[in-house]
Amino acid sequence: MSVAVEHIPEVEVKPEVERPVLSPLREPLIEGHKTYSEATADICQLLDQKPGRGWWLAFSASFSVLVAGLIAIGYTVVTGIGTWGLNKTVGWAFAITNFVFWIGIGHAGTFISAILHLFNQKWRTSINRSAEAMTIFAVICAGLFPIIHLGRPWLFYWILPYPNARGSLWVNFRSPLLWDFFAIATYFTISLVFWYLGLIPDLATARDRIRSRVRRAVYHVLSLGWNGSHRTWSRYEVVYMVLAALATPLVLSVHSIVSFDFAVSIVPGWHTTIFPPYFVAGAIFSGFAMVMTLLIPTRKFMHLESYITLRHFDNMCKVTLLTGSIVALSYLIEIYIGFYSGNRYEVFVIVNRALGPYRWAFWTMIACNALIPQLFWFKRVRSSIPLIFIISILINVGMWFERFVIIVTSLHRDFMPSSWAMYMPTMTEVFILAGSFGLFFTLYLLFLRVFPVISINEVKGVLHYARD
Amino acid sequence: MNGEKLWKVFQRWEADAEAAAGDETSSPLPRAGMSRRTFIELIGFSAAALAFSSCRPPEQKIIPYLNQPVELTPGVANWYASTCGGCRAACGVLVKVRDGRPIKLEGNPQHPLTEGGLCAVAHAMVFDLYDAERLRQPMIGSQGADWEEVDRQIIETLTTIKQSGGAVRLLSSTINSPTSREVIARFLNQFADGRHIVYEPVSTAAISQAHQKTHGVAVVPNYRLDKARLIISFGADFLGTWLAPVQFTRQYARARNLQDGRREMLRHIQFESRLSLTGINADARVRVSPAEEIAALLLLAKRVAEKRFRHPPAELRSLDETQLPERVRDAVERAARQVWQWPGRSLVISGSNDVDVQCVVNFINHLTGAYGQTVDLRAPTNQNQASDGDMVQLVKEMNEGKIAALLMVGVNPAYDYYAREDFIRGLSNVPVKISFSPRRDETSALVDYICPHHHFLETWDDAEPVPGVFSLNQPTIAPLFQTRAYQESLLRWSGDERSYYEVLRQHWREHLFPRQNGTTNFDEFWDRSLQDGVVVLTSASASTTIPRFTADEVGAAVRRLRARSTEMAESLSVILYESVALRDGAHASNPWLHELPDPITKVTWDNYASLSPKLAEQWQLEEGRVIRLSKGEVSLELPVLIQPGQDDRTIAIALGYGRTKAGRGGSYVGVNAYPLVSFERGTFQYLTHGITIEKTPHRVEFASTQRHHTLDGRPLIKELTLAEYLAEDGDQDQQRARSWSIWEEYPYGEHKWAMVVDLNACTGCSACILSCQAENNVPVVGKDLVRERREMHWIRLDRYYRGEADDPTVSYLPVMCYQCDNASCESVCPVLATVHSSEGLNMQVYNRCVGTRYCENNCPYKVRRFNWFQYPHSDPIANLALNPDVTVRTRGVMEKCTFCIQRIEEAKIRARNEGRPLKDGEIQTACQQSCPAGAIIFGDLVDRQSRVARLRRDKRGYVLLEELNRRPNITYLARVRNREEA
Repeated sequence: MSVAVEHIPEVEVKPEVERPVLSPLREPLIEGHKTYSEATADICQLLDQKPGRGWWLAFSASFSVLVAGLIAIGYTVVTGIGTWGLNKTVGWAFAITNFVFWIGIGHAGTFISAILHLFNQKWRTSINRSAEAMTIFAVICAGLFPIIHLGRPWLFYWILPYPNARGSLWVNFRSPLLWDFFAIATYFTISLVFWYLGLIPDLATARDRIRSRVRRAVYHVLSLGWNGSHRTWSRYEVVYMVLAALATPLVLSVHSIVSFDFAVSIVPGWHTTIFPPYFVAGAIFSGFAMVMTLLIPTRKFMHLESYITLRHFDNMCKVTLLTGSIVALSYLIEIYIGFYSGNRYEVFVIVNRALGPYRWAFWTMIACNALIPQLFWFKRVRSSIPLIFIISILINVGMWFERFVIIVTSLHRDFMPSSWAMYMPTMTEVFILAGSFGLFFTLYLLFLRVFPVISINEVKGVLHYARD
Repeated sequence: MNGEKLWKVFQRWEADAEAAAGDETSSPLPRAGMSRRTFIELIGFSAAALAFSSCRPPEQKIIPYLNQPVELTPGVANWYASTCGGCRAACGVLVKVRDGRPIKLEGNPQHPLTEGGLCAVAHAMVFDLYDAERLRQPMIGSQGADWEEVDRQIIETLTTIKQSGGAVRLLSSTINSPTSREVIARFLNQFADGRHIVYEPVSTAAISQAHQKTHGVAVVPNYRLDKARLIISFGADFLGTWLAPVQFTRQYARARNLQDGRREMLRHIQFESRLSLTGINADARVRVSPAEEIAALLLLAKRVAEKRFRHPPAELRSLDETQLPERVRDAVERAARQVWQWPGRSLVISGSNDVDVQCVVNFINHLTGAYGQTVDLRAPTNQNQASDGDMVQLVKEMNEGKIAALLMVGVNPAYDYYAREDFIRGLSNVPVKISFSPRRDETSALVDYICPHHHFLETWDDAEPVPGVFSLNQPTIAPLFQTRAYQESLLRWSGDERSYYEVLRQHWREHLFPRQNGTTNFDEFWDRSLQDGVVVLTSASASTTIPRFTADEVGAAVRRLRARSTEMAESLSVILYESVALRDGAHASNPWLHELPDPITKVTWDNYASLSPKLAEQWQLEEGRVIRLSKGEVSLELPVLIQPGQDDRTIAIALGYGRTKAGRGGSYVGVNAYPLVSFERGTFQYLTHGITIEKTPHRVEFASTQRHHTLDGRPLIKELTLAEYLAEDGDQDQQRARSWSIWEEYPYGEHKWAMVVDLNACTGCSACILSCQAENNVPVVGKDLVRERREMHWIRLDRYYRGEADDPTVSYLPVMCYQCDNASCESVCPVLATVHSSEGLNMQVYNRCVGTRYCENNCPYKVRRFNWFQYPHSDPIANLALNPDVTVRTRGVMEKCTFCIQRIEEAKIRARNEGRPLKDGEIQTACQQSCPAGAIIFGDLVDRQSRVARLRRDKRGYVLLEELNRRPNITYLARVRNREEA
């Protein structure tokens, strides 16, 4: 741990000092016996550093992919949706899969920051900032797809219920796509406000410490005149709590509503009442996997091992295990209900998923989502960073395939055998998917550079946890 | 530009000219002084005003008729009765002309043969009219020329030939126009050796030759399916391609109609090797090899003869019956028994072009008393007058250099003659070659002069498809290009300066007018005939007695057939057939036809070697694998299509593909199979043997519109036997059990549109698909996009195989938008682009659609079509074919069948203007209008007595996927098979 702040008086606890007596029942949340000033210095100095070679490498890679994705999107918009592999039978595939995937990813951030906050889970403090940032970036990626998948994307605003001069022409409140719009817009707004509110005290800290004049000016504006008075803190905490309470139902509602896109329809394999809880569990599951995927390199390259500890990963693995098991149970129930219904179309969908032409996607999904996370039952796995990293990536792959399986295998063979068709993505679609990852990582890498990665003010609140 | 403007306050303009710079709205200026702020405002505003006023679209003038023709109301279609020139069947058509452009053909309901039916090819002919690749002027060699020059040169050469006495041949396809034949005869009479030779690439010459042998008249009789109670067909695809399919479909459907409580229907037994459209519809289809087909025919002849004669001919008596498998023998035995169930009402036909086969067919028909009843020899058909021997003789003479001049009308032998190279070599030996082809095709590219003939919608003509039935062909548009009717060219070159119109009238005055007794005024007769499009006259030429049958040739024919059947027994046969869409290939430049899915295989844009699943397994061939078929010097590479229901010893290949000069759209589509045709025993044979097969490493993917061929146990098709049908009683309860729905029911007012599709009538001919395409401006998307499952047809014919893969039962289901009361599409569209009308239609608002495709996903019937790209509408000539009543859709929007809402509205407006309620049957959708089988019935459910309301209560009625509670407004009437009860 390097400390590069010279004006802080040399009062830090020396390593030669014996470890304070620890409570035998609890372990500290933050390792390394950090003092308040060390915590502040550790996190703020990251903002002062010039980005390293690793960051530039990662940034240029993600940015290149983003540009490739933008070119593919441009090509689609100019030429038409025909550049994708869709057809008369499969009207949705890659784009909507990506949409649901990204929306799902977002859920972990809100879960960590809002629900865990309300439940007073102190360990969340080290990871909530980056998880919330991830939420916002994931929702941005998600929001892209419903627009570009339109036949006439330049008219996307017709989905919005805005006052217009077209007489009685209005939007269709029966359509789940409209509910989607409301759900996502609300979600994005609340997440952004919540994140920003949490940032204000830290921005003020950065404002006071940063050396670059330009950035100081920016932080000055962004910190909204934070003065750290008791009154400010008190109001801040009330608002933060209220926002957490507001965001909590969204964790459940957003993905429920996204699942209505499918559940409300008549397509066998979509028309299922289990979808809302199943989608919510899947969203948190995939979101936590993504948080782990992001934090493992972040922690490593930004030297945040003291703040983001194995204990955090252990907890996240447990959440993943729980939600993963819910997802696995949902799969079983879906299959069981399919057969139990006795409906020939439902039975067919189940059989076709498992044994039909897209069985590779189905079994990838089962392996990655239902089987592999079960490894988290073992403490050894939960404490091995490389294993966690690999498993978290596999879960992301599996959850992407889950949405692919739901969307494509249901559509490609529904009621009329004459219209049965196959879907294969084109390179354009693959580039757009890659581009969304490029956008996500580009935004995340920029975030690492410009905002405190860890919530300084909240971490300070748990510094002494299990230490005194 | 300021000078053009009107100024309200002139003084102010003067005062503030710089500031205002040209817009009257900027006049209210403060008089005294101007603040800096106002000045900036005004400068900005003026600059903007200047910029906007100068970006006007270029000026386009529209000019109304100064003197509007009385018969022309802009926006209202005129209908002209005419005759279809798509093939030789000469069906009666009505041409819809909007603002001077023919945009659609419909069947002429008054035509006695087709009664309003039309085939797919006819509908596609509108595209041909506006084909920008047609020749725009006559050609000398490959150079464009003008008519005077062409006429001068041709008359000069013909005069020399006349003097030298050289042989002049006019080679044409079947011409059933009496006036044209007269013009041709008159032209050829100028020459010492002038002859008219009729060539058809797909010939039925064997029928006329057989009748020459058995009845002494070389004619193709008129088959009367409507009079038959039993049809036994040996490979004749009379519903698809044979002779006059529209006429036959009409008669067939009528004879099998069970609507309105009818209880009797025609029985149809089909013996065939490949799966044909006709075989699919048969009550009993017997899968036989070509050898067995002959043996079965002989056995039938034997059984029939045994019944009629104490001593049947020796050749038949000694027939070895054990040759046939028991299944086939049994089928023949039963067929033979049934022949006597309806004496004189049975009909045996064969699609073979073998004289011996046709002789035996005649023999059977004679014994069963079919002549005079179901086989009409007194008024034989003119629909196929091919004379194969004459054509072969002509090519021989051409090669010997005996022909001085060759004129060609409606033929393309350089493509479709079996010995193409011979013809081309022969052609180079002919000093004067003239073609009347409207395009530079394979043959006309080789001639000296091309004198392009009009499209049939631009010209005068007449037709007599069956003696006594005369129809007129009238131009419905001024010729688009500098083309000339070939008859007029011939008249010119015969020294006759009259127009063909005058000659036509003259002919009708002299020959037809005396035969009628409705009026004494020729003009009245002419006008009435022209208005009706068709006139039926008692046949003067037809003899009143049936030519006598002589059995002399039958014995020898049987003997030869027995030998051939034994010889063929184990060998592999290649069957060459016409496909329903492309027929003989004459219209291969037409993309509508290429994109029409084959009714059986559902493949577009290709031909293929189809073979049975068993043979494919035996040879280890998978679908799409390219194989090389070789016979002698001929070698074709074709992809394999696995065809259930085909005989295991055959390969079937469609003719009409592989054109090399058929324009941008039609060239190099598929492979030309004509080289496999042979000339044997005096006729062209479309069955060949001695083929060797080689596998190649190539594979292709077919552009087919249906990839899954079975129902997988889903109850989408209902079929029953006649006995089952008759055993059921009473109409079904109109009020079906209705499930509870979360949405309120729509209140329907004046009308509620619905449709009934009688699956028992539908033969699968696919005419509806192209009728819809023409009516609704449905774009052609091409092979690649069909392969990607993005075809745009609003109506499709689902074809399902049931039963065993070797010998399946095949059923059709025409599927278009069901206009559900409780539509899945309507509730999911976020922008309300698909909404429910007060008349029960699901309307698609194209300009509101943003293209989420949610409706497409949620439609259980998958009838919605999405515009994946901007489909080109850039050809100004092709655009003339568009129906102005139907929006051309842009990219990114969804479209689908609308029940031809434009026709509904048109009829409603007409009724309102005339102050009367709509009549039942007044509105006909495009698919319904052209259906030769009358399988589609459209109407108003609010009128409880309408035909559609009555048929919806028919006990055969069912709706698709009823359990989903979409409440579709198309009711299907189950198919009934008239199976013989065991």
